[in-house]
Amino acid sequence: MDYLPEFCTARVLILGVGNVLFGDDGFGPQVIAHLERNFPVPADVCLMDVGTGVRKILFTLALSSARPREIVIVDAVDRNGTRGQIIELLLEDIPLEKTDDFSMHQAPTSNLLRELRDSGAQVTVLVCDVGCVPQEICTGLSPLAASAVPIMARQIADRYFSPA
Amino acid sequence: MTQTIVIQPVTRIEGHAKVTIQLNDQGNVADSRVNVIELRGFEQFCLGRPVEEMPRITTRICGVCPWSHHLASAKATDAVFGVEIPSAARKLRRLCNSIAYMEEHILHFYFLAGADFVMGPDAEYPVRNVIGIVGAAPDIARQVVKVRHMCARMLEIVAGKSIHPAAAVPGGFSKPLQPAERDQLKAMAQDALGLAQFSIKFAKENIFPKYLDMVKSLGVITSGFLGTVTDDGSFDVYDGHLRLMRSDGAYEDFPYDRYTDFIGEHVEPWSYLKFPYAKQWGAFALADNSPSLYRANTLARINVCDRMPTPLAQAELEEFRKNFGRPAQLTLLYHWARLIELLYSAENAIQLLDDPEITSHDTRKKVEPRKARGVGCVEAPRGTLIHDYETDENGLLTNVNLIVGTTHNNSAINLSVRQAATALIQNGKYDQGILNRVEMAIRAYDPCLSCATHTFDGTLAVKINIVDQDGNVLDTLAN
Repeated sequence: MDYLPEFCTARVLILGVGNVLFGDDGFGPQVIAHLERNFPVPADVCLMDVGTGVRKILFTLALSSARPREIVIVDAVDRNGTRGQIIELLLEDIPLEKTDDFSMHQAPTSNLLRELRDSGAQVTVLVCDVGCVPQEICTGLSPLAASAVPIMARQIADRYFSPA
Repeated sequence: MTQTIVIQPVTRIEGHAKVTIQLNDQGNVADSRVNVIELRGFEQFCLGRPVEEMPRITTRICGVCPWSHHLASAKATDAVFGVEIPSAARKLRRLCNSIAYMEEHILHFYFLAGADFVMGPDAEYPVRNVIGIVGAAPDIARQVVKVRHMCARMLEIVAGKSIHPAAAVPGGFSKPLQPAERDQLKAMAQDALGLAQFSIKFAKENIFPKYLDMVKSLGVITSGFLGTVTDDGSFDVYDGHLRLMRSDGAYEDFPYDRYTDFIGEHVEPWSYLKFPYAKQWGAFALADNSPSLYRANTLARINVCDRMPTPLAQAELEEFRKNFGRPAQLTLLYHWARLIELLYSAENAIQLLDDPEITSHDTRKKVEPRKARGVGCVEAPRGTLIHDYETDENGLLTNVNLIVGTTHNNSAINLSVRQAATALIQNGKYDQGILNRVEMAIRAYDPCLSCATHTFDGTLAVKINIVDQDGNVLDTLAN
């Protein structure tokens, strides 16, 4: 029996990454929740709030015999840019010093994303520049991050929810 | 000129950690520290909340071991409410725990530690990782993926979801297991047992003998041990009482809710993570063979128990003790002990599924809020996990204390790194392989150093800066 999970066989896999206990770090999961509440999700699209467990998904995908055509990471970033701004991060933008680092915690690991891309999957990283993530537990998004959630969700739906 | 070597972050463990190695003028190790990022503010965040929310909230603490927090929290809430949950609920929780253990131990052995042993600690850095294993052992990689998928699917069947579980509730378990589901799970559990048997056989034949010299020397310290046992001294990771064992094998047993009588928490100014110690045995000292030093996690649990309650794991324990005695102190034996636990977890899952009561519909009791204290304790894969809650008469939290598994090993991790670094870095000479061996000493403990946050900012990297006393960078090692 081949125990392949849905996220391996979906056409599009969208992963919301982050910890909702740490303010704007919960941006990714909040986008997933917004999509699930407000949009009809096609049957071949898999939405997952993976919290801080994304590396398990990525490692499984890297070694799996089946993978989605599109893999989308939704996450928060601190780039000291315009807060609340939505950015598509290119894998090539990731510093070279990070490329061979297989830290299990650094998620999404750039190495795995590159491997998945090189294996034929279209890998896209969509992030919101949230500024500072709190060092102590502090639930809830900042107003700017919260306002970016529906914008990000609309972009994702427009781009990925149409039939293949 | 003195030098500081910094390894940040430590690769292939779960969480953020920085290792700082201070060399003296002769280029030998003068000191070392493992600084970790810890979950901060959680206790304060919980105050005033209804205690029944905790089993759901705590699954968000860590994406690595959500089930351990979920179950420890559920047990603490049971204790706060003063309820004895139905037997079927206890068995369902145990079943989920065993399945989660299988998934975690497979993940650690093959993905986290595997590259060290399958590829070798001196392999070139780019291949000393998971993809290297795929290239070196593709059939093993495929089987590992299959069984891990299967474990996640098993948890979905039993509990509705594997990520961010919510099935363990105050008073029991939210849904019974149907007979058809049980039958489906039994076949899966047999597959998992097959991988567990293969894994320990493979390790004993191909890994441990090859690296025996390293096992006998890397990161070795002398300590006591903390783990859970049942009333007859058998191994258990869900329920029982705590056993604190000295390095000479003498031990003391105590119930969970008396842990503060035996375990103290020391604070060092350079670390957010506390340093638990066996306070009845002596004052805190960050020193090898300190009377109050103890370790938790797989090796500790194997050491403290008198026997394994399942036959295949018991046979492995007997062989392990024949080779290494009791208590065994060699740090890299954590990996061997982990495989014995993997075997037990698969056997235990099968035993539970064979129990007719596992499909009982009596899975939950009603609870009423009251002013009380409740302590819930499970053995997380990474060590004894304690959730300690106090509530007012309305069931709202007035106090919360957590001791997570890895915290118990904070002293030991620091000492093992110091031991490894001292032995391997001499006269200022080091290279990538040596530094990876230092990290191996940490990975043996399978530490979970708080998966609290991670933003995709690309600023973290494995970079080693060698600096002088004035902070001038003398050299940089990077991949």
